[in-house]
Amino acid sequence: MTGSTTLSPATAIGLREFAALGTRAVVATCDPGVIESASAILHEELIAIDRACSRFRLDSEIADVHRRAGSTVEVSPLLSEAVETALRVAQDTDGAVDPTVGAAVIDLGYDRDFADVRHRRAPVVAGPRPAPGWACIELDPLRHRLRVPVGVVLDLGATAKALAADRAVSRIAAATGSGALVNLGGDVSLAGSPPPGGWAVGIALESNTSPGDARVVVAIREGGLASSGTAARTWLQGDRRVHHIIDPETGDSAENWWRLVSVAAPSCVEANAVSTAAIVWGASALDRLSTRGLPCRLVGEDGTVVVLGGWPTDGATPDDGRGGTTTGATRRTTGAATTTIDRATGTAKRATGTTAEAVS
Amino acid sequence: MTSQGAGEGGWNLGRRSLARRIRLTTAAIVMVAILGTAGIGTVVAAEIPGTTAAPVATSKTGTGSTAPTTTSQSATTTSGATSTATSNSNSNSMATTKAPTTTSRPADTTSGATG
Repeated sequence: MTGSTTLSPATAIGLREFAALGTRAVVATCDPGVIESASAILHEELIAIDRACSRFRLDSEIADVHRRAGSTVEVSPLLSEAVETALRVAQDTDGAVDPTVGAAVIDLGYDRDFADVRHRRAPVVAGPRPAPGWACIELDPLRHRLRVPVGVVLDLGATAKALAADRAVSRIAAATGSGALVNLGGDVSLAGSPPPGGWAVGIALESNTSPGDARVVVAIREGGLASSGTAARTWLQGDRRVHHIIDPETGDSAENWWRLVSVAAPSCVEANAVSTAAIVWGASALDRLSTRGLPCRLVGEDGTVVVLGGWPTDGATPDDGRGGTTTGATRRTTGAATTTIDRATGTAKRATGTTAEAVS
Repeated sequence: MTSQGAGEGGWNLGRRSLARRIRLTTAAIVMVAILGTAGIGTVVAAEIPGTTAAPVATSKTGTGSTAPTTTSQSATTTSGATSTATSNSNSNSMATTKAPTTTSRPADTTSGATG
């Protein structure tokens, strides 16, 4: 674990960082004096979510559910909440983010902790296996009873991390009275009053980029901010490089259309759901995102940057720190290509040029 | 993918008998009628006694579009995550979160693809 108190132009904050869930966990508090308590709460929450949801642990609850596939199993309230969240996200994204991709991602070679996957060449198995679909999962959220059909493997990785961030930061703010930020591998959640000017979040292709090295920095004051991308968590399957965001319809890694999608939303769960779905949606993402009204920033495979829903342009002048919303169409100058939304057809178009226009 | 249960208001409708579906639907219609008469204008849900199914919910909010289906509010937790997901399960709803703004401050943390 590393710990420090960061001095920002406006104030001092408490900050702790440690490895967890195969990535990095960060907790920050406006009041540096409560950072130890905040860190302890985050540790508790991560231990609990890992014990409930990890498909890499033989002693996890979800592993037990898989062993008893076909039977109705009584589970903990936390696993019940995690599955319920995953099912809601699946419904809300029209199945783009589906927890039943577990078998598909295992077939691709992501069958153990990513630290062990990163440097291995996974064998090629039979063709990709489409996900059976979230609707086959039976959950009674009142009595915490769960039934997973035989042959179906749940992968809660797409939502459990964001859920843990939301749960932890709420607990921290309630217990300490301090505004707080929790970041789990790029999934950021806020609670309580932010520091003056808001929490400054760097946007980078990989979440383990040092905050000081992030070229794009935005301020947020509430809710959550999540980023999903295809460049960071990749490995070789045979001679082919694959990544961890699975298209449930094909059972294969989603098409490389967007390199990074960042979304701000009322919660980290919702932000993560939309950013992950956008990767899966690919070419249709702009149309789908524009109807949701969420602030988004998308980086195409060719480097084109598109912003939606009031997300500030990368080169915009910093505001006075009081925040507020940006409305209407935004423009982004790029050196690569232009992405526009065709208002009539709702389809994304690309052409060479210097300006990308996005519709909020 | 299967479409089992989709659009019918719950996660575990797939194995329900036709009779149970009818009972649930009837109960939900009665509840909607009562609440509608009472003028309740927020998302509401009713648990159907004696069943393990997630009940049907309805909404009179928004622009009159089809209400989202959701599980009983008594089933959801108090975490912001779940309640937010519920309130945004209607794709027609618009987020109210403030958009990020640019800042000259150094970043406190980084958001990117999980490494």
